[in-house]
Amino acid sequence: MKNLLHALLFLISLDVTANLGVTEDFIKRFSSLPSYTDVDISPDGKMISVITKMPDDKKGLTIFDAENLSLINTISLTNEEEVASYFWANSTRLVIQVGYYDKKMGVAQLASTFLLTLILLNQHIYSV
Amino acid sequence: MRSRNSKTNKSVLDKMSAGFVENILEDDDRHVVISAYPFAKSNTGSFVTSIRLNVYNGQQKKLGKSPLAGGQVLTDSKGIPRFAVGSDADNNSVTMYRASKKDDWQTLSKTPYGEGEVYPVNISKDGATIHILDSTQTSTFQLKKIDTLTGETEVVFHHPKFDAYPQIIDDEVLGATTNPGYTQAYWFEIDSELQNSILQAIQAFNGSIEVFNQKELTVVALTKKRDKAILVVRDSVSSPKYYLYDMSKNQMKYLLTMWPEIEDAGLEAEIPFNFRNSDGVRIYGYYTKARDQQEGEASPMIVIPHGGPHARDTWGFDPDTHIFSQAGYAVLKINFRGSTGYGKEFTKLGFGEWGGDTQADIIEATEWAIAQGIADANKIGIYGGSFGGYSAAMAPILRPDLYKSSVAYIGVFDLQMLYNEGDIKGIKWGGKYLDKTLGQDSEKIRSMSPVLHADRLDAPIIIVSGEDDQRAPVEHAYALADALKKEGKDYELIVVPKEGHGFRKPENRFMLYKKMLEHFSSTL
Repeated sequence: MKNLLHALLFLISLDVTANLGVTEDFIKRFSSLPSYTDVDISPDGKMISVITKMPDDKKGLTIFDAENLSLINTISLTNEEEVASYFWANSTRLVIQVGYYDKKMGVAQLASTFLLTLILLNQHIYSV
Repeated sequence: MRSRNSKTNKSVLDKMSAGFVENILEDDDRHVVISAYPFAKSNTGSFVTSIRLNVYNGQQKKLGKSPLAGGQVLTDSKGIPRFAVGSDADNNSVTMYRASKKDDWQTLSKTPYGEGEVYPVNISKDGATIHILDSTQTSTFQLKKIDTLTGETEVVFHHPKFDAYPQIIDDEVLGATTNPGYTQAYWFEIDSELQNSILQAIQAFNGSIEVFNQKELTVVALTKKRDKAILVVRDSVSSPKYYLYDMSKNQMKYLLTMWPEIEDAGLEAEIPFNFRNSDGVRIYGYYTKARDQQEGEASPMIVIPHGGPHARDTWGFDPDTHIFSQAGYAVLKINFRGSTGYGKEFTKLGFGEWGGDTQADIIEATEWAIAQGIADANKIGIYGGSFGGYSAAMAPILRPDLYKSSVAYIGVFDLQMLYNEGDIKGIKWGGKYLDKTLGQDSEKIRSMSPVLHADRLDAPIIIVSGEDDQRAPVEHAYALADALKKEGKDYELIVVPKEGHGFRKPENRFMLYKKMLEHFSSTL
């Protein structure tokens, strides 16, 4: 009886898949947001940076050593804010453009905020 | 830990502005240039201000205001605003230039919307050479080089059929690409160490990993000494991938896969095609076979018209394509009349033809795919977003025999409503833009408005809208649903809260894909 039930359940799940043509897992993966975008290299070539999807689907910034690809730092923002874009102002300083996910509008927007960041200490020395 | 000291937390821009980093001032480690736009008015003709920002202490200095409302400002290597591009109240495309901070702004070009434009693409570090794209005299863009001292102008690249996209890396104009189907690269015959390095990189790449399909390789970053570069490699069947290229060692190192979630083996490639339509105009597009579709075997097909309409599809990786292809549908995309990339004359052919010649191209491309044996004539569905959503309603109205099922996503369905609702009419030049793209023949506009022809919309349709959509307000979806209800037609309306013109949240994208697959599966 238990085996029959299993077999029935198996048939039902097969049927659902056949109906869609692909598995739900496939749709789920293709509905996701990209994990890594906007890769850049510091002007002196020592560090590689990349906008990274954080566990909450917001965008943060990760910095690697260009030689051995070891992790140097991760920068993620709080609340509704995320890293919209960033630039290497020089080999130790980043300008991060803050974006925020507007719950009301349902769209990602640029905030009028730029973070001037010293990479190694992960300290925003100034935020404007 | 992030420390934001409130005392130092003053705004570059006033609180009602947004901006972006326009110029990192490569030879100045202490400053960048920001283009600032007043927030609420960014679409309605506010004047861009260029601001020099000290990246150590946050000090700001205003470098000047754009002489043109809206649009963009391009600064030179010293941060001096030199080009302004924008639209005037009559929806003319205007480009202005000045030789130095002391000189007055001069109008380089002023043309009615659609009649070509001048767009600056590079100012050399020494200021001696400027490159512009110019389509005021030709249908497709000419890439021109201007000597700023003598004023001498040279056309460095022009393709008579396809728009040129210049390839500029670190101040050097190395070549140009066109996009007929696949991207075509043209390298200029110049004596350039950088160009040699990049050509070497392409060879190193081809030698070090297997290349099954055609791939596109782009340099996205370069060190100051030009000894290392970040490359991105793209194709139509897998996630883009990042590589680090060491020029001196001629070594390619794999870094990251942009979208590891979707790395799947055996996805079907996008294949460029073209055909001559019944008006004698060559139309380009892309098709993708259904999973396991054999040569000569007709498959159910989903037609996906792009948005815009003055935009285009390009070859590359598109999750929509693979969702349908893997679910057993061939996929068809069309750069119909009105699309960009094939010259301004081709774009103009779409003006006033939203429901006319543009739909005719979508329909004829569909018939082309049937004639080629790619698609099963009895199992054609249509799905699109924005203008594609409009087409997903309009094409089945025009050809109920051809399109048996539809999903219209974030679309516009009541063309007269475009003048009254949404953000386009709020833009200073918006009304003029609508007059151009929709035309001014009210009888014709009525004939192209889906809400007025719901009686002919026989294809079961799902209408999907984001409740906070500013471009194609949810009222369009309600209007079409009401019209279909009155006619007793088969429709479903899905309005998703807290989404706008294109869904961002993975759970909403998942819902949409699943709904579409269920819908097409049960109706085709």
